[in-house]
Amino acid sequence: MQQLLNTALGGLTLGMVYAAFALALVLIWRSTRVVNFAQAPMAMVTTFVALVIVDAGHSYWLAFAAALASGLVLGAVIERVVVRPVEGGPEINAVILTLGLFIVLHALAAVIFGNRYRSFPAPFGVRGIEVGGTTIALTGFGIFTILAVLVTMGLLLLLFQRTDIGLRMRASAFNPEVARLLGVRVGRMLTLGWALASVVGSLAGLLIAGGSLVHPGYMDSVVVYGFVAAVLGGLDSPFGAVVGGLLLGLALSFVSGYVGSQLVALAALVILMLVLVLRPGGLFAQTAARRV
Amino acid sequence: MPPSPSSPDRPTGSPTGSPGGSPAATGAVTGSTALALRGVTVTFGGVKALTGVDLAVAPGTVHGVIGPNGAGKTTLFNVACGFVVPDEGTIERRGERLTRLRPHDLAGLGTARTLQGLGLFDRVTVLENVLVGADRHARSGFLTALLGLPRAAREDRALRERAMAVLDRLGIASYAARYPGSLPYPVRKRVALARALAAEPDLLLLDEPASGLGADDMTELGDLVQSLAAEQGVSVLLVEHHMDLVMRVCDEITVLDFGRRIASGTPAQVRDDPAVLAAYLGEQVG
Repeated sequence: MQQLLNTALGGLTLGMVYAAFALALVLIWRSTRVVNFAQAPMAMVTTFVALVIVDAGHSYWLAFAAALASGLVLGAVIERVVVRPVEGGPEINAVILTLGLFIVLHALAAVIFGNRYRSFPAPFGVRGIEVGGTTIALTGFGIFTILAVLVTMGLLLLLFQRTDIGLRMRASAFNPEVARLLGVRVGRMLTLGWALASVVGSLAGLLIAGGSLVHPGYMDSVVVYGFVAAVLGGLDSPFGAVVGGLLLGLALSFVSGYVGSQLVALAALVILMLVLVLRPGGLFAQTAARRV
Repeated sequence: MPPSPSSPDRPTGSPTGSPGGSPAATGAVTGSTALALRGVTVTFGGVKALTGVDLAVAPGTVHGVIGPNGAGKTTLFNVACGFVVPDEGTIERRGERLTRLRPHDLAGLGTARTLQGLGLFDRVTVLENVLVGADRHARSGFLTALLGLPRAAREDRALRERAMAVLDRLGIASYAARYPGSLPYPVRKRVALARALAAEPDLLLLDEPASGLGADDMTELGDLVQSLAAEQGVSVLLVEHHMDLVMRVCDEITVLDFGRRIASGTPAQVRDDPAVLAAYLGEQVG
């Protein structure tokens, strides 16, 4: 019973991070039809920015804010400088470009920050909380992780559903030509979309790194899990990405806890294949609604 | 006045027929037109889609563009929108010459257009579709909107009220929370029109607004277009196949055939024009 609870709690925490990362992928996918494989090294770079600030003796929260801010800037700059020039061409070009970015950012990080494991601090305890004499697998940092992702999702939901600029971003994503006709500066909306996605990716990076070790490749597996979560949710649906992330986190946690931790990556691939074979549109695809 | 093919016998007639007219010639003469195309020639890879076409839309009037299939109506429309840059000739808006118009400039100029394909955002509610159209009046910056500051909220409310008023005017307020994909075609057509109107344009470009509509809807559309022009001073450029609608609502009509203007004038003048009859009935006229 306790193992079940602990496995579920671990899965929930991890699922939240996958959900955030999947959300970052979906935000970019639905506005530019690009799967941004560079999301992982982008998040990694911002985590190193935080690490440099922490190592310089500043507080964790300053580093946290700086990482998110650098994520915002990095996302905007990459969209403007690297992705924009290949827009309008075949979509595969942009995807290959993000793979190239993946390698370039990796190499740069290794040169600038060093290619070794370094420990990253956590602002809250990384030991399980004690409930009624037994320790459960929910840490203080785990609670922070869950809350941080929930708050971020809430803010994004408010932005997209309740504000004018969110509506313009959605309009640009769904039909850029028409949005342009209506006076929407679609280019700016795309830049903003990449910037926001990059912030969410940075958040996921910080949450994975907290109380753990970082090195230039520490986010690489997360982009795989985030991608599987996004596909699980239908790639087009932010809500689906979140649910997909949680489901994947739980599923992988159970595989790790009950079957064997060495099978986690394999399980993720099996899930990906099952989704692609059985529900290629994802669990929450709105394909039926779009085929009018 | 006897109708004479291809002669500028309109009140707004200005020095026309000079393809590539110099910018110096613009100004005072055309201060009274909402939109003026002069000597517009468009070539697509050796094929002349438009040849020296002149057209002027006077403020608060409805100007129809008709012609057989392939006459160049759509190209003319796209030139008016700035999507197609003419090889020769000029476009003027309220007397000012326009150069290199980009699609997102249209709304800021007070121009709204509807599309033949409607172009509604299917996964956004009807009200939100209209709100995107109403956006050119929104001034809140990104941070204000993001932080939900009072000014943004106030503007947001005003926008929503205006959008609802437009929906109400077109009789589709009850569909505000629905998604366009689930609505019947005539209603979607109205949503597209509402979205164009929400920007409160002074020039409205309508691309075949009556296609796919039944007789009742078409009558209502005609009434609406006329009242927009007469009561609100909106200038309308209307490209349409339905001759009865065009004849009923237009103050002036330009007839295109093979990329040339073969006639222009009031509906009555155009109706009796031998060149127009020839273009539509396929007769040879000397």
